[in-house]
Amino acid sequence: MDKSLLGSLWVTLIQTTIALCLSTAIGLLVGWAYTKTHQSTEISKKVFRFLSCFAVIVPTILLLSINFKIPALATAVFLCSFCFITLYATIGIQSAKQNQNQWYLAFPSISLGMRIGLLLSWPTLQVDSMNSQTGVGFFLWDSYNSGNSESIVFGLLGVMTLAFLLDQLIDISGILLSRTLNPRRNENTSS
Amino acid sequence: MDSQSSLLINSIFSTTIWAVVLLGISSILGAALGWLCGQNFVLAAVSQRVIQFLACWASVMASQTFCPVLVIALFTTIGVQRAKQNGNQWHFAISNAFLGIRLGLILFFTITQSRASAGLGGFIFNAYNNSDTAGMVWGALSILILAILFDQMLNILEKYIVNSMSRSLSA
Repeated sequence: MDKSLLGSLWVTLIQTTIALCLSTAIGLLVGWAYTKTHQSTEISKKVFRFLSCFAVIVPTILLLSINFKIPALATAVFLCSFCFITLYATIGIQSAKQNQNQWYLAFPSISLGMRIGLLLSWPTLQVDSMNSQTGVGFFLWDSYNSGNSESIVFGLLGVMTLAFLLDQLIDISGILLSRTLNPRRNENTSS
Repeated sequence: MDSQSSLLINSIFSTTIWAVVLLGISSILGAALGWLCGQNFVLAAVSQRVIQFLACWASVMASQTFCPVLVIALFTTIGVQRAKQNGNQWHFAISNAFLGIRLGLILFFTITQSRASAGLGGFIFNAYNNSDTAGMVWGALSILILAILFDQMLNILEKYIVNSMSRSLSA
């Protein structure tokens, strides 16, 4: 694996993480705001379920904005994950509130929303290749133009590994946070 | 009707047929694979990681054939395990399988736009190559409407199956 691939993967990782953190923060805030009453929670679940279908038009939105030279993958991560994170944060927070504010119940749901959003955004890598100046998308496009098939294979393997590791990291973080905040587990450990 | 409109209608028709066929086969295969993998706790834990890695591969490669199958299999495995852990409450498995089908559907329509060869993806790329912004917007709107319609149908089907299951259990 050459140095430029590692650099590109690093840039992609940073861009993806920033976009995911941003959408998680906004999604949690919106989810929190909508779980004030039972009625608003049910309405928001229906609305965000409907809005999550808009993830299907993200590649065309990115193609339309190709002249703006925005980081396509990061934008896709933000747009795809926002509705899913809000939807699953609403479900998680509602379940926590129904169980006397047991917040550990909310984390698996929130991490599921983040994982779904991330999984849905990887197919937009092709558009990212077309308009990006940095990151692994640019690396793949550059390798394709120079006819370097070995770099393309390594690049794709790198993105797959990155996608899998990020997914597992979010999954394990959700499980660990949930276990740490679980009062029953804490009681068992102290006794 | 001008040629652009008839081309759009043809693209919608071919994408709908392809979506019904592919998602139908993917649902059967994915649910069967998920059912098998979810039978045992250790098998479920290992297969979840393996299927997740393969799903990442299919997602990065924008594979319209494998992505929905793997996502449906992943969520069915989780659902079957959850159902077994909660005293064979199979509505967990059904709900998770439908979540997988829903995500498979969204992935299918997202990947459609990366496929410049045929259907609505071909229509959008053709419009993009001709710098036809209106054509791209119409193509994207068609995909969105198809996705919403399929999603609502899945929602109704899921509610019907879960309700009939709980009715048969209480009878």
